[in-house]
Amino acid sequence: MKRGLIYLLTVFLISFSFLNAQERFRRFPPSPQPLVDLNLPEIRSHELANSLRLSVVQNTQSPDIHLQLIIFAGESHSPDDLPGLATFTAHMLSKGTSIFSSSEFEDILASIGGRFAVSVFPEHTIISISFLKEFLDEGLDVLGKLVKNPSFNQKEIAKLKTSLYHSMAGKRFDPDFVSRRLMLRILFQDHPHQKITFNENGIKNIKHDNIRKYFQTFYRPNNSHLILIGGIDFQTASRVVSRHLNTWRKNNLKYSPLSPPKPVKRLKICLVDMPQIDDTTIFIGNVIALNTPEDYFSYSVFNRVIGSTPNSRIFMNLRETKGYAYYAFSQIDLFNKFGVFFIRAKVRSDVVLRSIEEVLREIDHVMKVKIPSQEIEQAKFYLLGNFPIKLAGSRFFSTKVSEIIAFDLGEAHWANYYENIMQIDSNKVFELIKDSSILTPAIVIVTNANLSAEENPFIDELIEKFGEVEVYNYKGMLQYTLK
Amino acid sequence: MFITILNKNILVTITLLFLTFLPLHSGQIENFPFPFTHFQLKNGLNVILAEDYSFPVVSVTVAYHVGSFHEPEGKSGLAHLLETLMFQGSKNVGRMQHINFVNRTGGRFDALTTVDKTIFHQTVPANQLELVLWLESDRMFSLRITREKVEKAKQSLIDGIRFRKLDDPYMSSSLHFTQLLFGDYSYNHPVIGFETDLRSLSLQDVRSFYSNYYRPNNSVICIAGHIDKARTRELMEKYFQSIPTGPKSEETTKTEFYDILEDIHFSEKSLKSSPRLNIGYRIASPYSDDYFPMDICSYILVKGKTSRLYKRLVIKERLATSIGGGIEIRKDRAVFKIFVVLNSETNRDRCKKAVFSEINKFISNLISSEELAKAKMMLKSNYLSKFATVSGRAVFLANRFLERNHPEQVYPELNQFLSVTSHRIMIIANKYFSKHKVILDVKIR
Repeated sequence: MKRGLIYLLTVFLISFSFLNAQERFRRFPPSPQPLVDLNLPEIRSHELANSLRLSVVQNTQSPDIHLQLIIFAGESHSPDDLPGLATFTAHMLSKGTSIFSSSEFEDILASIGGRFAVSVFPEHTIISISFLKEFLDEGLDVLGKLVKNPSFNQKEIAKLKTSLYHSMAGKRFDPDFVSRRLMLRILFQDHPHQKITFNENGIKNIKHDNIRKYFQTFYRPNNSHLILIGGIDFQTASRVVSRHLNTWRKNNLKYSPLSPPKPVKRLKICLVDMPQIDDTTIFIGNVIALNTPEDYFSYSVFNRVIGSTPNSRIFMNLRETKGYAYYAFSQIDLFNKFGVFFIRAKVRSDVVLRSIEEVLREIDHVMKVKIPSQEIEQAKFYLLGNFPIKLAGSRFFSTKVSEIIAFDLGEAHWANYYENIMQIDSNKVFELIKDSSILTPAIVIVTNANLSAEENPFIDELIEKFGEVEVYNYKGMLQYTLK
Repeated sequence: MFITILNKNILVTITLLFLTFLPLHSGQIENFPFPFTHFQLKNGLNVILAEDYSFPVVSVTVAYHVGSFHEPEGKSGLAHLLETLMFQGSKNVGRMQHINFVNRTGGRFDALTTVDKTIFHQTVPANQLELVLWLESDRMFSLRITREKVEKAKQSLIDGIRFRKLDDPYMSSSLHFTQLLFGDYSYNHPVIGFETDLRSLSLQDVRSFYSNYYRPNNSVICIAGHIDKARTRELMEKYFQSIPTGPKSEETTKTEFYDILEDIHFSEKSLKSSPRLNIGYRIASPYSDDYFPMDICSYILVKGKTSRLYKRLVIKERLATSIGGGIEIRKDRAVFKIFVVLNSETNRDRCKKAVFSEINKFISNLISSEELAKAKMMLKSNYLSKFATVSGRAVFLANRFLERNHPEQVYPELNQFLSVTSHRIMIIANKYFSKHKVILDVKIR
């Protein structure tokens, strides 16, 4: 009996201490292991006899090959009276060659498990084709034919005009698209980059000769850089690329890169009336100078602190504390030697002015008071963790490589990313931010402004606070100014 | 000993020689594209590990075998509600802290409820694996469900339903189409639930649903990326093995996927949309022998700019602005859907005739080898892209484990698609495209 009781007590004590031990490790989050090194594949480069540059990034795990042809010309190189020409020309590439029609091109792509896309930026254009890795030869053969023998068929031009027109006009009710385009239009005023904000009207006047001339001038091997990413080695890539692209003829094109646009120096309120929507979209942004890699990494840390995630200051303020916003994030869009820093938010329409004031107050605060070191370290911790996660997604990997090549960013943005982030501290961020123009931004508001009403307290409040309000249509054209 | 080694070597040599002379079909794969291992903890929790050292990141997917299918009638939205509550705090993790912990590491998270699965997924830096296991084990072990949290989550889901009604101009017709096509309530009610059902859900409903289904023996955890397998197994045992097993979930008896033939007109109240034609066929159950040819059919008929319906209706006759569709799986049932967005209401009859004339042509004539090869390559590319990243791998393995019961079932899968012949497609297409059909003419008011 006694022995039985002792046995039961022992079992009870062992179980109790076991459960207790379990509870202890469940009670608090575990400490992280040391950060694992980032060993990125090398970007190997080579130049062909016709001056086409080639870069290869070997990623054996990838089931396909992602090919990107960068043409160092974009919307800024469209003629002033034909904004949209660079975009139109890039899209025409998939509309047939002297060897195959547009429909045959789609069939060829499908037969190699392929996808085609174009992206046009102010100073460069990217033609992307991805395909299953066993079709390397076929993929490069297709690319060779697209750049050497485009047909620019009149029927296809007419069809593309209609589809691009409808696709752009269809975005007239998209507040994000309308806001972003107008913000860039204001920031790039009087600069060739403004042509990137073209609207559907520009498409109408493009003719066959304009496309051919743009293509013949800029789509040349000496103005291009080909990137191959995927399960392919450098030697094989060089050999196959040379086979299909060494007869692509170069020209004597020479032009200097454009100087970056200047930041807006006076805060500007730009309003678009969109009666169909219930909530309000706000974009607040300005141009930032990125003269050195350190500028870029300091701004990245700053961006994380101020608004790039749901733990950042603006999101916590506008959404979690005040309940004004559905979302409020900041972002940096990278261009050649500069960036655009902006905040985008969707807010309740009854608190538009208060939301703008809160964003400006947050920016003003970081320009006057240094961000505490602990917050800077948290931001760096986030960026160090987030970079490989983004790279592990196949699309960002390709985008990052093309960004590095298009903007000549170098190893600082690739293999040395961790070291560069680690070097940023509170002082570096403060010194950079305090001299920037982010407190005099272009502010775009897309809302149901009820402009026809006789009494409009919303507009009155904006005028009282900011002096004047410029009213634009959805295409980004100034209609009138309210004072 | 020497003899044993010698025998082994001879055996390996003979096997290799045998394999060398086996005929290899074009596009055939001999192994699944990436290695993985599977084991089960003592409490029945299934674990799948897939190592990949390309980047110092790790993806963790926790998938529970529960979804809208398991909701009793009148309690729709329960599974989706639980998905929301899983972020509202457990014994040692505060409300929304799960998201904050993952965000702070630079990581990403996602959650999804389907007809028969609820999936929680996160990708974090490799050195933060243990943090995710701590977070996931806490909510599997001890989710804190209070009346206040339930009421708040219900309101947020009801707001979501209203927002979706505004955002999706085809919502009413899509719901009606799904109800007709999938038949029984368990399969056909919306995962987001009905507003009236959501309002009536009680605290007890939610607690019982959690204790019945959110159990280790009703789930699978897939971890892919920069991991050490032995260490990961230790961590899995540490955090999950002591979580008590729940009741074995009862599967509703499978009912007959009965014959159907409907041709109905439906009026959709919307300003933003164009008239649409929804056509659906009941087909073979997922991953059965007939299923694989049907997926190839979707590439030939409706997917992409090279599909037959796109070429005829959008490019040649300009009757439609877009074509969509393909196979939709809901648990053990599958349907083949075709969506045609019309250019104008006046073209409706012409368009309908054109669609059925293409389908008739498809079932009456053998497809060419070029067209078949093209469809297979499109499918292969899409199939492989599902697990091109570690994040994709974790989600893919979790899905397939719950769909196919055993992870090894995925090994021959791609081959099952790629070995489909033109003759087989013709037989299968005839079998499923000539009956069990629903046509919904969506008109805009």
